[in-house]
Amino acid sequence: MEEKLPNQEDKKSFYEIPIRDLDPDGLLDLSEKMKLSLSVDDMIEIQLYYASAMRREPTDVELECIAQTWSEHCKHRIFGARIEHSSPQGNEVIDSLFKTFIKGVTERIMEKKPGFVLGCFVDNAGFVKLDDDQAICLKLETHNHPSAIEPYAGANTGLGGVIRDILGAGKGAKPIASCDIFCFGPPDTDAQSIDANDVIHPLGIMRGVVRGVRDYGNRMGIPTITGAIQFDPSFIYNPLVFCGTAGIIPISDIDKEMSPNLRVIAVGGRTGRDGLKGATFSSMALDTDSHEEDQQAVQIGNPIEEKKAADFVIEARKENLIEFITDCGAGGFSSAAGEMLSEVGGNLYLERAPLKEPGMTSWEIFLSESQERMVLAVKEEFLPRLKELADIYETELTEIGDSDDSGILKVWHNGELVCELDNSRLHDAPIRQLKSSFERGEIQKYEWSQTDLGDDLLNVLGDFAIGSREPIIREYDHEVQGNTVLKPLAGKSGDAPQDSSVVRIDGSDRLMSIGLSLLPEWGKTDPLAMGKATVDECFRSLIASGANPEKIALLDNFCVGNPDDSRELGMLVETCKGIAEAAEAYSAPFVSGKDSFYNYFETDQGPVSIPTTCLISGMGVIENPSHVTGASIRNSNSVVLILGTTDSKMGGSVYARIKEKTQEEVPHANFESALNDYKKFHKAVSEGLILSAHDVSEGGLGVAIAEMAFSEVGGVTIDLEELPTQGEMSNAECLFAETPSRLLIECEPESLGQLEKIFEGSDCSVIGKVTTKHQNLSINVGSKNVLEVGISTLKEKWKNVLTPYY
Amino acid sequence: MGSLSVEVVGKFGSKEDANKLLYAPITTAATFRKSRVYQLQFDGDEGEAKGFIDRCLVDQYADEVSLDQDSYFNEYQFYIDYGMKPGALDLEKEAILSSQKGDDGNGFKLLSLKLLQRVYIFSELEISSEPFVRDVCNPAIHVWSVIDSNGRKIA
Amino acid sequence: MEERPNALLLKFPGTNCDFETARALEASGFSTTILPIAAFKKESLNSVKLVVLSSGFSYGDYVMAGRLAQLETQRKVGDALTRFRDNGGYMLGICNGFQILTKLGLLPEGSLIDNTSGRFICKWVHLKKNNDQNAFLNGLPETFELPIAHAEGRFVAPDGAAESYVENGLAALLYHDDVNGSSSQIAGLSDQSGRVLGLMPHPERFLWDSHHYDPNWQGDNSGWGAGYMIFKSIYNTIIKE
Repeated sequence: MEEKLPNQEDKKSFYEIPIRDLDPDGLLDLSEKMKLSLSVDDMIEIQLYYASAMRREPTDVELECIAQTWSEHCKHRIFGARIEHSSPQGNEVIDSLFKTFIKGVTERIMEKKPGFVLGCFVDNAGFVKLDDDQAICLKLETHNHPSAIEPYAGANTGLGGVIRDILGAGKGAKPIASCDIFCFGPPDTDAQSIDANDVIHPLGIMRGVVRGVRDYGNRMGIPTITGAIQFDPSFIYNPLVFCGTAGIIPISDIDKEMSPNLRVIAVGGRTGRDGLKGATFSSMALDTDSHEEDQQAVQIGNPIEEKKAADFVIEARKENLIEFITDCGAGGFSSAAGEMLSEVGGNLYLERAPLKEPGMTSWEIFLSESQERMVLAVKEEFLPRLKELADIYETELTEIGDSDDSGILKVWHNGELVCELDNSRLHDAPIRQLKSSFERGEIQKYEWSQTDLGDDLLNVLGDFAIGSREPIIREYDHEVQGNTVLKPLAGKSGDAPQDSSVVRIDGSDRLMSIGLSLLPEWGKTDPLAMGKATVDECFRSLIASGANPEKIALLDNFCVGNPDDSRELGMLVETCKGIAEAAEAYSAPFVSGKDSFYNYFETDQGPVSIPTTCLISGMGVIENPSHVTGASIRNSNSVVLILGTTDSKMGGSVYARIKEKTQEEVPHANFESALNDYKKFHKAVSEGLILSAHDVSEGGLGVAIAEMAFSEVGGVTIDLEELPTQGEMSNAECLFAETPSRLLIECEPESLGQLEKIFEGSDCSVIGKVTTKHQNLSINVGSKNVLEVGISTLKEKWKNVLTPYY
Repeated sequence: MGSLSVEVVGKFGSKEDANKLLYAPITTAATFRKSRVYQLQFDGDEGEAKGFIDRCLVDQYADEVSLDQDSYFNEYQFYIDYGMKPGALDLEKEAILSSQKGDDGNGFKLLSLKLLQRVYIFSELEISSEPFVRDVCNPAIHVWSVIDSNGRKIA
Repeated sequence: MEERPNALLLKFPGTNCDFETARALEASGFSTTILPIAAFKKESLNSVKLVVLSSGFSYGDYVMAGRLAQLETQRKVGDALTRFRDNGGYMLGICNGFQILTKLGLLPEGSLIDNTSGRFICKWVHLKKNNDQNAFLNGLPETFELPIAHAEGRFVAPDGAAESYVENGLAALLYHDDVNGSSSQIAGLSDQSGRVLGLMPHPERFLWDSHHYDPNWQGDNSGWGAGYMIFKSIYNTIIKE
C-alpha cells in the first residue's frame, strides 16, 4: 500500500488518503502523522464510514475536517462521555455530564419559567429576555494555551474570538460589554523555581495578557466592565485566560434559519496559514516543545479589522439583510460552513476566498482559523446593498458559496470536488468511556487562636487574592459606549471595589448586570462545595447589584488538568454536581458554557496540573434604574446589617491559606434559606430601602466591611456579638470565614423598621454603624475592642498590592 | 531602488528604570530608552522618501529623527532591535502600507518597509543582555538582534 | 417649533464613540448624521453647523494617534474642513478627535503623545475652565468632572507655547491635577477663531447623573451631567447666531 501525505513539492492542492486497508496501528500512525489528535476508536469509526457508506478513500480535506469537528475543543467529548464515577457516596454511571448536570437542569427550569430563556446551547451564545423587544446574551471562552506561549497575542485573539461569537449570535448581536478572568502564578514567583525552559514568568504572562485584552477591547469600543484574577503557584505553567462578551439583540432577530438558494459570503479578514491547527492544538497538553513547534498556532489579532466587520454586521442586521450568520472560529470555514450547510446542503468554492498568501492547499483554506472573519448567508437580492455597506465600512466582502437542498456539503477547489461529506454522519463521534473517582482528603479542625486581628486583616487585604485590581481596571476603557452605570470602581475617590457591573441598555428601561465567581482554592479540598459556592456567589453578586432573582441566567466555564487521570476527572464530576444542585435550587438556568481540558504541563519534575477550576458567570436583569445598587457606603450616619449566618468552617478561605492551615472543612451553601434571603433583599431594593450592599466572599466579613468603607464616607464600628453564627466562634473565624450566602447591607436608621419586617424569619442583624466620630474600622465584641485600624491604613495596604508589579 | 533607515526618538522621553522591562528584577542599576527604527526600500526620488517619513512616520513636535546609520544614543551597554517575525502580523506596518497605497505617486513608490523597536540599556556596570532579551522578545512572534557597546552584534 | 441644527459626525475605521456621541448631540438638540469617511462627498458639509470627530482608535492609531486619520482626511476631504470653519462652522474633537484635529493643524501647534505613565488611563478627572467665552464651555461651571480614557493625552508644544495658550485662553480646559503629564495641564484647546475645540475628556460619557462613578444609587439620577452642558452650550451658541 502506498501512503501519500501532502508535501510542499507537489502542486496538487488536495490528496486522497487511503485508509480502508489500514490496521489499527496504521490508523493511529496516520492520525499522529497528520496531527489529527484522533484516537484509534475514532479512526476505526472513520474507516468504517468510508468503507461501508462512502465506498471510497477520504481526501485529506475530509480527514482534517472530521478531526476538527471531533476535536475536544469543538465537540466537548469529555462532557458527553459515559463516566463510571466512584465517590464516598458510592458508585454511579453518568451518561454525559452535560446532559445530566447542565442541560437537564436548564430544561427543568425552562419549564418552570417559560419565556425567560430565549435560546441556549445551540447558537453562539445564550439569550434571555430583557423586555418585550430586546434580549441580552453572554458568552465566555478560554484561550489558555495560546496565552501561555504568547500572552499578548493569546489574550488579544481570545477576546477577539468571543466578540465574534456575539456578532454571530442570532442574526448579529451588538457587543455591549466584556469581562476577563485570569488565573496566574503569583507575580513575585522566584524565577529560579520554574522547572522548565521557555516558560514565561507569571508577571510576564499577567502584563502581556492584560495588555492584549486592553488593546483589543479598547479598540473595539466594547467596555471591559468586570473581571477577576486568581493567583496560585499551580497556574505558573498553565495560566487560564477567560474572556467574555455580552450582547443585545431584538428578540425578533434571534432565530435564524438556512434555506436553499442563499448566497454564502465571507466578511472581514483574509484567510492565511497563520490560523492552522488551533483547535486540535488546544486539545493537547503543553510541554516545552509546544513553545517551539507550535508557534504558528499563536496569531495576533487585528481589532480594527474586526471593528469594521462589526460595524458592517450590525448595520446589515438592522436593515434586515441577514438570513444566517456565524463566526469563523475553531475549524474556520469548515465549522462555519458545516453549521450553515449541514442541514440544507450547498457548495463552497475555496478559490474564491481572499487569501493572505498564495499557494495554500485546499485543507489549509478550509480549516484555517485566521482571525476576524464572519460568514453570512444572504438573499441574492440584497447583495448589492451588502457590497455597498462593505465599501462604506471598508471591510472585504466575498461570495464564497451557496446553499441548495441536497443535504450534502460539497467543497470545491478550482473545479475539483475536494470534500463531500454526508453531514448527518459527520458529527457522530464515538462516545468516550471514562472512569473517575473522588476521595475526600483528610479533614482537620484547627484552633484559630486569638492573634492580632488588625495585623491579620492587613495581611489578608494585602494578599494577591484580595488586593485592588485598580492598576489593571484603569487600563481598560470600561466606559466606552456610555452605558456603564455601575462601574468596577466607585466611592468618593472612584477607587472602591464593586460586586457586579451594570450597563444600561439603549431603548429599554431595564439594565443588565454581569457577575462572576471562581474559587479554585475551595475545589482543592471539596469540589462539590466549590461548585455550589461559585453559583451562589455569582447569583448573590448579581442580586447585590439590584438584579431580579427571578431573572438570572448562568454560564459554566470549566478548566481541567488531565481528564485521563481518574482523580482529576472525579473533581470535575463533583464540581458539576455542585453547580447543578445550586442552579436548580435558585432556578437560574445555564444558557451557555465551555470547557477546556489538558491544562497541565510536563515540567522537568513531572506533570503539573491546574486545580479543577469552574468559572460561573451570570447575567441578571435589573428592572429599574433605581434598583442599581453599589457596594460602597453612602452615608455617614447609616447602619450596617448582615444577612445570612456565619459558620466556623475555614476551609478554602484566604485566611486559612495565609495561615497555612488548609485541611479544614469547606462550608456548603444552604440554598433554601439563601434564596429566601435574596428574594427579601430584592424586595428591600425595590422599595428603596438599601443604600449599598456588598457580598461577603473572599477574605470574609473583615474584608467585605473594609471594602465597603473604602468609599471614605466615615468610620465604621462593628459589634461581633450581634453577628448571627452557627455556634461559638472565635473572633478570627467571625472575621475571616468565607461562609457563602451572606450580604452586608447599609441602610438609613429610619429604614430599620421596614427592613426588620421584610427580613423577619431570616438571620439578619444590625452589626454596626457608620460614624463621623472616627475614621477607623473599629471591631468590638460587646464592650471590648478587638480591632482598631484607620480605614486609610487598610486602604493604603489594599491599593498597593499589584502596583509594584503592574 | 533606494533605501533609507530612520530612527525616531521621542523628544519628551527620558531614561527609566530598566527593571520595568523585566519580570524578575536585577540588582544592577540600569536604565532604558526606546526608539523606533523604520527601514524603507523604495523606487524614485529620495527627497520624496524623506517627505514620506516626515509626513507619515514622524511627529514634528514630539520626535527627533536620525537618518544616520549610527544609533541615536551612545554609551549604552547594549541595545536590542526587535521586530515581528515573518508570518506574524505587524499591525503598524500593515496600517502604514495600506495608508500609503493612496499616496504612491510623484515618482515615489514604497517597495518594502521593516519596523524595529529599539531598546537601549544604560548602566555604569557591565550587564547581561540575556534577561532583557528573554522578557522583551518572544520567539513565538519576534526576531531580534543585540548590539553591544562596541557596535558588535552579539545575538 | 424647535430648531434642530445639523451636526455631522465623521467616522473612521476604528472610531468607536460615534453612537453615544450622536446620542448626546441628539439629546442637546442637534439633528445628527454619522458619516463614515469612505462615504464623504463634497456636499456632505452643506447645511452642517457642527462637525464632530468622536473618539476611538482611528485606523488603530498605529504609528501615532490620529496620524493615519489625518492623512486619510487630507486625501478625502482636502481643505474642506478649514473652509467650513472659515465660513462660520463649528468643530468639536473629542479624545481621538482632538488628536486628529491637532494633526490636521486645525488647532494650535502641538501634539498629544504617550501619557508619562506609559499607560492607558480610564478614570474621572476634575477640570477647570480657562476661558468663559468659549462657545463649547460657556454654559458650564468653573470646575466640573468628566471621564478620560486615553493612552496618548499628554499635550506637548514648542517651548513656551503651552504657557501662552493658557495665558491667552486658547487652552480653554485644564486638568485640576497632573493626570497624564500634559504641559500646563492642558486638557482642551481651541483655535484662534474659537470655533474649533479639541478636548481629551469624554463629555458624551457624562450625559446624566447616573453616569457618575459615585452617584446616589437609590436617588433620582436622571438629571443632566456636565458633559451634556458642553453639547448644550454649542447648541445654544449656534441657534443664537
